[in-house]
Amino acid sequence: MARKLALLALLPAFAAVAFGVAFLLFYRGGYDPPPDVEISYEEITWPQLPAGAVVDSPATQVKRGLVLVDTMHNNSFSEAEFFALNSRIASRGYEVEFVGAFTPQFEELRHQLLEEKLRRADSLVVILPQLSYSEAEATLVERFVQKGGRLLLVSDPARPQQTNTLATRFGVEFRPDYLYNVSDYDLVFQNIIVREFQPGELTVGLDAITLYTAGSIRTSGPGLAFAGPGTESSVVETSEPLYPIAGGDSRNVLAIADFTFLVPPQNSLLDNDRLISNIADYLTSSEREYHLTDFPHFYETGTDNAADILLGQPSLWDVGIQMKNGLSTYGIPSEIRGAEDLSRDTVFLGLYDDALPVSRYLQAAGVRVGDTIGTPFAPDLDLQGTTVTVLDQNQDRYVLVVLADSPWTLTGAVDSLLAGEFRGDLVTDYAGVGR
Amino acid sequence: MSLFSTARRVLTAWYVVAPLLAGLGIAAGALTFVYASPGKPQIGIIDIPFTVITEDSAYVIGRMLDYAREDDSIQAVVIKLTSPGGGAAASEQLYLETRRLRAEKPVVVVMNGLVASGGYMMSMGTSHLYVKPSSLVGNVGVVSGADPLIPPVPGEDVVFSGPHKLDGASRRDWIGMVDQLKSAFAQTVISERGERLRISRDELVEARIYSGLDAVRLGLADDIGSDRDAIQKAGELAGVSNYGLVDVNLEVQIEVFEELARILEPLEGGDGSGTIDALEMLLPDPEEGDSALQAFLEENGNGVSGLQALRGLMLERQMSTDQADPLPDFPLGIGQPNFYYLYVGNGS
Repeated sequence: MARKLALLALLPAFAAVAFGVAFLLFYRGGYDPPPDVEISYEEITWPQLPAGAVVDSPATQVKRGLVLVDTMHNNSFSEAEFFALNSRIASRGYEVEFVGAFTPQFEELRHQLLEEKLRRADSLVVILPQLSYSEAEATLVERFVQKGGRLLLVSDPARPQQTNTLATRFGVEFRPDYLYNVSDYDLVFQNIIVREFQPGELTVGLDAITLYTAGSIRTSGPGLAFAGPGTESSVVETSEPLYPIAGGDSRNVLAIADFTFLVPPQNSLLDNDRLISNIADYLTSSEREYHLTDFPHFYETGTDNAADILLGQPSLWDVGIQMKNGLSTYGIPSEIRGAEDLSRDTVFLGLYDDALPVSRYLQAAGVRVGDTIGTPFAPDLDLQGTTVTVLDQNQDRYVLVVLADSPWTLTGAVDSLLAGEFRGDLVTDYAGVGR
Repeated sequence: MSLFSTARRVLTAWYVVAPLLAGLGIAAGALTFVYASPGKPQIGIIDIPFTVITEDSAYVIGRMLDYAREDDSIQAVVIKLTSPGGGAAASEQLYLETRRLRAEKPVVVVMNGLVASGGYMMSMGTSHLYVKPSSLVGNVGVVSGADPLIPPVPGEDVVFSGPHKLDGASRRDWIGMVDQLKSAFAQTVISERGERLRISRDELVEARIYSGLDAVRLGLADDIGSDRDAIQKAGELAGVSNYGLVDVNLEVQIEVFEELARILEPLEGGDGSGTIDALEMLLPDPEEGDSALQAFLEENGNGVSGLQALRGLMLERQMSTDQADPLPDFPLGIGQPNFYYLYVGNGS
């Protein structure tokens, strides 16, 4: 019996051996899963910068002036986005005018419009033009800057733009890069924080600003804000300093390689608000010189009496009225007076015989009126059928002198001035002789 | 002695019975091993050719991962992966699913070509990463659309209860969330790779793409290797040898077709005429027609072949999330703010 049982035990025994052999043939050990990886998701937050205090202290004496904002080059921004700087400029008594409700198709039309608008402007803001500035337009702006007008150039690598077509005229080039910092930033790495500044009117009171999608600027002028250590350029790999804000080759040119810091709510973070105030101060403190070609925009608008009109003789009353009415169409109020007030802007209308009271203005412009008319750059002319126009600028006072050989010629000269057709007669920036 | 008794004595002799029982025992043991448990070990192969990770593709891949996890014969899994990533949530889903699978079975990824962003995130849930020298790996980061700087003011014809009822958050908040997700992604890589990682967090979040060679050097991947190396590694990690290979893609396809067949079975009249009934059931308004259905009917006919094609179409539609008009008369367009773990190629 025991032998039979032993025999029967062979079956499970061999089955177990076979199973074991098979198991060992296929399985050499077990899977030891790695320990569960703990990831502390709850500690992952995003950095929030504090809003800076709203700082704005415009000068107590409000000046009048005009800041032009270019909108005729299919510029990549909306007026709503310009709101923060617009309100700061307005609070300083300046008017903000967006040039061109639409983009003229023809370069010549844009040139004419820009030329006309710049005559009156104190500062020009050019933000992200998508159409290139032509040579002629850039020359206009260059002359504007040479005359003391201030130019703010704003580019932004995140938006389409042709800003360099103008900027390079002023020793400024916006590089095709963006700046970033992967460890010190606001929200995302492209929103850099700038903490180093060149002391000056534009950077006064700034400890730190944050710029959004800022690029870098190559300039022949001064760098005004420096991207600090850890901030890199997406393109520039040299060790040269990276300036997101810089001056041009003239102190009247300011270049900023970021637009969106002007736009709420970014405008209120860190010292951005202070920077915007500084920019507004900069744009409203130009020392713009006016030339004769800028007539009549050297006279203030919006005051009770911007200019006195003096007549060489009472018979010219009608010409005086003609000038008064013409100036009023430009928003420049004027009064006909009997005597010169040396503290006030003045228009003098007279015949050559009346030149004595204004001889010092003629002399300052290099114009001599006698038997003939003499100017520094043209041969002497006979008096008959001619007009002489001179602009004198002494400190903040502008005196325009218009003389002619007869009342009829004088009437024609005033017509020509008011219609803007006199510019072909200019022999210098301050004098013109017409026939 | 009769012949019968002689035979009986021989058959009951120990030298006959013992080998017989031994043989039976061996057979029983072997059969038990093969057919009961644990059976011949298998390594499941999941092939993911260039795939953008969307909700749909994540569903399909998730199903494959489920299959591999639930099939007891599959002792390890090899994923052949090429993906630029895709939707953030879908990529996270796949990461969590592979992680879950890894808790039970080793999972080895072999990166063919590009494995970036969400694709790389998915591979973080696995046990071992193989690359080819020319593979492109990394791109740890997030992409999202953004609202305009100045949000439009809603019209007078819409009433809503809070300043962010419509947009959900300010532009800054959305941007902040992008950074938050980037940090979470980076933390996932840092935690999963552990001491193998030889790249700083700051370098990691630059979101660079690395060659396979650099990926190994920087610890973003483990080894240079082929599909065969990956299979061998999977076998080693599972502790199995002499394993078979299971094409998980095929098995899941068969599973899906079987499900569809079960759904369509009551509608089939044997001659395939049930296809039309199935179409009517599928279409919300058959009178309006459906160009896609019409096209495939014309192409495949109404018979059995049409039914087979319909099964494919149903599968496609089952995956689809399009909703033409989910809320009739709702006065606003419905946007879908999304985050992506995606490598977009040229950045535009």
